[in-house]
Amino acid sequence: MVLTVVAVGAHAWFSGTTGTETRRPLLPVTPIAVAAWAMLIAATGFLVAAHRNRLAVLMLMGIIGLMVSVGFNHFSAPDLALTQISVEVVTIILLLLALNFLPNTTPNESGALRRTRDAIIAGAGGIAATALTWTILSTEFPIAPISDYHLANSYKGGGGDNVVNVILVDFRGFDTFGEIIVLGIAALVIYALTEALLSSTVRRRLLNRGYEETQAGDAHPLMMVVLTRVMMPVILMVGVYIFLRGHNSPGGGFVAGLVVAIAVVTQYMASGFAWAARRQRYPYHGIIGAGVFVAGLTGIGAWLAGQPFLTSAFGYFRIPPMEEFELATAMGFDLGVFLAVVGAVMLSLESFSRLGYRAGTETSDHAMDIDPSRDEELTPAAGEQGKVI
Amino acid sequence: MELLIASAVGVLSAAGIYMVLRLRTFPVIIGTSLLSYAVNVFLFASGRLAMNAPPVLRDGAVRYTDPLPQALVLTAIVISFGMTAVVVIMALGSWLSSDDDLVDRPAVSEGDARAPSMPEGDA
Amino acid sequence: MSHWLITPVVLPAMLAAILVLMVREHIVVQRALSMAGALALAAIATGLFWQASDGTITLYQLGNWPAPFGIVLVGDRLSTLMVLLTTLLAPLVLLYAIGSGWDARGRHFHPLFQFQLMGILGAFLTGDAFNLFVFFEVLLIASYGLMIHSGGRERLRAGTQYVLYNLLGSTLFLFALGTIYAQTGTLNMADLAGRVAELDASASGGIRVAAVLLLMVFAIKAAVLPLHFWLPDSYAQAPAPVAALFAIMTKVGAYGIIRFYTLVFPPDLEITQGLFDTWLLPAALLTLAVGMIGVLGAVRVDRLIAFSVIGSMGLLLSAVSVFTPDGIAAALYYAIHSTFATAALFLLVDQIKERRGETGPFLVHGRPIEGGALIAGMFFVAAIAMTGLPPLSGFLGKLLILDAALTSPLVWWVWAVVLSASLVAVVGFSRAGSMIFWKAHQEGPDGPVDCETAPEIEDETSQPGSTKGPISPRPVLPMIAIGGLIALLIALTVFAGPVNRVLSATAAQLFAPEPYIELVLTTPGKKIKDDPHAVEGDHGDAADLAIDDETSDATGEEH
Repeated sequence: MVLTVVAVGAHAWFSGTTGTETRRPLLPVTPIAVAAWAMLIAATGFLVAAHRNRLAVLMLMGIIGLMVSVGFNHFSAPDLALTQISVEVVTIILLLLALNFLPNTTPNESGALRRTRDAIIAGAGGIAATALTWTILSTEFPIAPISDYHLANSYKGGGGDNVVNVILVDFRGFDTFGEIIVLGIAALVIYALTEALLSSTVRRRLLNRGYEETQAGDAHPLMMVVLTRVMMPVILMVGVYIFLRGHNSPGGGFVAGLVVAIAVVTQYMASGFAWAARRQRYPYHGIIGAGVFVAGLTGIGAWLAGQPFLTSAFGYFRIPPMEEFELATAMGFDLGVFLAVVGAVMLSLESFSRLGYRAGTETSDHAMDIDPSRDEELTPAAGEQGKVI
Repeated sequence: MELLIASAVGVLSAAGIYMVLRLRTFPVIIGTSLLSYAVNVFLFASGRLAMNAPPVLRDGAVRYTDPLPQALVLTAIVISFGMTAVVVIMALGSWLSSDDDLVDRPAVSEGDARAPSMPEGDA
Repeated sequence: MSHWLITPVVLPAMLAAILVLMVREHIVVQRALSMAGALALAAIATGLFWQASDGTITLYQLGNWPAPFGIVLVGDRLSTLMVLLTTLLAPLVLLYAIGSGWDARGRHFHPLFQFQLMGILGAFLTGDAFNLFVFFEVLLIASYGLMIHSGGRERLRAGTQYVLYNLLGSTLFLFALGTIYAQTGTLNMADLAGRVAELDASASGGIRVAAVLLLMVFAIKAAVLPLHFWLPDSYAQAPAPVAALFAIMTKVGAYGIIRFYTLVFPPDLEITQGLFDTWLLPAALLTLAVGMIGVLGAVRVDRLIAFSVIGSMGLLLSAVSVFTPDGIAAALYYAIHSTFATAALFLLVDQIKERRGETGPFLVHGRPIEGGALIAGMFFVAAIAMTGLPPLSGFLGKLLILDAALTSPLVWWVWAVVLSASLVAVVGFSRAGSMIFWKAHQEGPDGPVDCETAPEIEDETSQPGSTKGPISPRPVLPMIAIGGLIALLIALTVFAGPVNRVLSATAAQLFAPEPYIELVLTTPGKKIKDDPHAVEGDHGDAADLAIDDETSDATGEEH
């Protein structure tokens, strides 16, 4: 498949003609960029070399994701950097949860010949990608892009200074509507599959699975529990802050949703699945549904004003003790995005955790596993108590 | 600078393709993640690069970088996150119910991502 | 401003949200709502189709932003036709799912079904390339969910393969979109058409790469050789109603090819000369050949149908790749036909699998099927349609395609491949049919089955009406669903004349895209306080209310 794509692409390229594009002045190379680039390349190289050790792979993925988001920030895309890094965190948590069930290493079964062949194919793909990117980066737009309009009208027409966010919730809000639906569906699919797995023989196998390694004696370390609980309101506040400023500065519903979801996930991690689950008030399904529903209603609301779906309106209001602030219908839409993201991320992570949750294990109702009133003889059982979230 | 970005996209895609060709679930998932990094950077680069020109309107700013590709990449990141989550759980489910995470079925059919023009078809 | 054009997208989305939010534990309510939604969609789609049938093109500007800057939905003849096709298929498939109890075998069938509909309909209606990507992802991710609905080891395995393959396809789609944006600076299809035509033909490298990358993306969806490997397994493993709904999904790929390569990269465009015509047709023919060989070699009846999907896509695309109005019209006719035929076959196969007991889908001698006559009758009607034997719509479709190919330089190749593929398909299907229905009754050595007479015999035995008797314990809804599909096939044959006139008009509209482009690009959108093209005038000076003036906006739109 890769070969086909590269071959056809190359055919198209070489049968075309080039030469008259305006070249674009190149940016100067900065040392920071070189350092980041080197780390990225090194991490990728190590990843390929060490790809059979799955835990190492995840760590290297983390480095790569971090470097990519640093790169976004370097090239004037703070929104992207923010999103990339929060998505990275959630993805890694997700992969770690999955890794919990998989063996730690991938067996090596492809021979040298096969690996050489694959390397050649991969190399061809890489060179093609490099060539394409280089061509694009070194030439100017042949025709001025439509985004000039977005820059010019973001404030007047969309009521926000952060053009990326205004594009997301207003100019191209329909894309975002589709995007949260994708996320919601993903969570539903994950949930449905978990249900199906848990009701099949898989469940028995999971319950019979022995621990391969010794468990940490202390599944929910005191430090972590305390720290995450203190951090929770702070993180939530940061989430709300990011949400509110999104229209005018980097941020917005999506990132805010991820931040809040991460805050909740840390509670699961630190305090255990059962503890957190018992304190959960609203089912995640409902949150996703509500998110999509709110976003859709915001869009439909425009019908009442005789406007097409998702038409936004905004105004400035003043409540005496506060500074003047802005209300835009786009914020309602962003709220829908926020809810859908929180719901979707949490539902997926929860479903993963449920796979590992052992029905038989005793659930601790103490705020922490380490309960001074219990004595030491419980120690061997304490490991069992730790729920694999 | 542009060459750095271009080569980064190339290296990420090459690594991604190589991992995908390993045809085992875990490397394939990692491979698709690498490919999605590559394509995100690529999509971002389609608006050309600029430093210190974030597309947040400020008084007195003279130039902004192209905001549209950024919005597109944001959408793409989110979508690929959803896709990754789904494929992870499916792979997990497949592994849990069969104890084997080979992506392609041994005898019955070609695996995914196998370039069809390959000479030998060892599974 | 009429909002009808967006309802096919918003209605299923909101319905699905409600299903998840409120009634996720009540399957009966879900069924009722889901069915009501599907029927409402069919009604709306009929209305839209009617509206577009005199050649008017309707435009819907999301967020009221003017065309190249915001996202637009466009309802022209082709889009509304495809929407109508989908919404006709959906209630029948849903009926089958409800009747056979498939929907209760796992969680969230109905929301996923509605989301899937939303994705497909959105992909047909949108006029924006990136939005098309988003809808592709919506329909794909919903299809993953439906595909692995109710789990099962084989299904999960095939599903993982399907998802990974499509992930690669999505990555490629993004590469293509990035290249397109980098070369033209726009994403709206109509605007793209204008800008691509303006591009300097002496610097064509970039846009040529973009055009073929995009073509590859659609080719993956449409399962064109050599990018077809995902299809047989995933379709054969998917639950039957889902596979039947998937019958429309390959058509989304074909729709993409038709839309982009008549609007954005029309065949006479200089800058992309010599790119598609050289190899799309041979690839399509090869696809047809491989599909039909697969039909012949399949050992399971569900894989047989899946291969025949590949074959029919090959046939469809070989008609498309002639790139003449006749070719497109023929392809559309064949697309409608093959959607219904494959859907009917997948559903029938599910019934067969269920009734054969232990032999299941394998093409071996098994015990006779209870209520077999009705099933057999319908199987042979559908198979006749699928293989293109007279007198059903498949035959007409094939004739149209052969006729359209007359202008192609490769006409002899087309004729030879199409005709021999038909022959092979007939052999394959009659082998399967006789194995399942006939030999089960009369065990013993059979000579080579006469491929013409075997269907006829069974066909006749099934005609006498009282065949409902033996299947009375079976739920009757699945039979109605399949019967409905077959009725549609027959209607397609009977009304071939009018249908074909509509399709010719559709193709003619595709090859005269100027009204489309003009409508999309010149309709004014949201009125912005100041001059819409003023750059950065009064930023920071916004003490006064900046709410859109709705009255002035409305009047602005009327004129």
